[in-house]
Amino acid sequence: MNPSIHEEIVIQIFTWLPVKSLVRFKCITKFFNSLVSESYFTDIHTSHSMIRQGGTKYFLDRREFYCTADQQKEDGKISASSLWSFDEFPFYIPASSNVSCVKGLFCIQEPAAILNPSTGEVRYLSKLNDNWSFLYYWLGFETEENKYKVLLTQDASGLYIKQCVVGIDKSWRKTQRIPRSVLYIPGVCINGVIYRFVFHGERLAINAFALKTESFKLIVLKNSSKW
Amino acid sequence: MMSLGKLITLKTNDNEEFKLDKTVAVKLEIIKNIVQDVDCTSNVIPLPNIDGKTMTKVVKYWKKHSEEGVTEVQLKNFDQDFLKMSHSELHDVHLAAKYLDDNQLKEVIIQEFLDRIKGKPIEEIREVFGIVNDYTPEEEEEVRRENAWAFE
Repeated sequence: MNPSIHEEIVIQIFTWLPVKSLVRFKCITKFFNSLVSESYFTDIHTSHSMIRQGGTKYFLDRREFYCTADQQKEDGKISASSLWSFDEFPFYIPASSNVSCVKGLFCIQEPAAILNPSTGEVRYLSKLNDNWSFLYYWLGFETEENKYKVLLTQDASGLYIKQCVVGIDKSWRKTQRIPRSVLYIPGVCINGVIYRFVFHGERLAINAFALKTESFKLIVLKNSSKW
Repeated sequence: MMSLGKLITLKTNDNEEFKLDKTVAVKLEIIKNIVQDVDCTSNVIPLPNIDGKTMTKVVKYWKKHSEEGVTEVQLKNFDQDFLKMSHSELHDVHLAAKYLDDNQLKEVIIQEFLDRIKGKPIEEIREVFGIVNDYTPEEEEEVRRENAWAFE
């Protein structure tokens, strides 16, 4: 047995590992089991994953996740290999489907679920109690509290929004009403705000929902051509 | 202040002395600071945290990497050879590089450790880092089962 190597160095080394190795290394000791879920560790790991040579990038195509592994580039191209097959899903995810993706997690609509491509975890989102509404789920990341939140819009006309905090809220909470507007994809979550294109009246607008304050703003694009 | 072009002597905690060209030594933050701060008329800089055996390796690395006209391929071959040491020796060099604030050397060693643990079973990884398993066999089996996908 070698003399023990400083924990600090081992942690530093581990921040450069791919997720799969990290999950395997939870078996090393109890300390490493809890380490990989500590936010100070995951934050460094996330930033290292971005700059790591051949860092892993994920693609979602129908029912399969692809990832770029730490493989050698061939002719300057990075090859992607199939990683996860979510066979339990009853539907394919069409290319045009409303998939949101933020900080390593994907959110799909049918069935409503959060997918973690690096661990293969699937968490289904609960439905509202009525069967006739058309629902849109949108995943966002709140940077101040470091939490993922899911925004749920009921009906294509966006009557009101409910929202849940992943892992905390079991049921949906009602939040601020938003004016009637037709959702128009795509959208994106930046710095804790979910921006989605909507049709407001005859104009194109941006519906900005701040996850921290749970408040909503409508930005009408004045010069957009009439709908 | 030291005059230009002189040699700097680094003295380890076991009194081994290493004479270095100043242009090599001042590349390092810590040496640069000592050179600027201390009026070291004797030109001897003590390194209380590093022993001679480790410092020999570090100096060898510095000298090769500051050689004039050295090619990428030569450096790559040198590094490969340089890194052939035991886990604990590698660890000592990392500690020294950390103390000397040599980021390049630190990164090279982290990468070497990563290469050494790549695809290795858990038992071997514990051995590399000298970690004692604190799971009972049942507990370890449980964690393995929970994360079975990662072992495929």
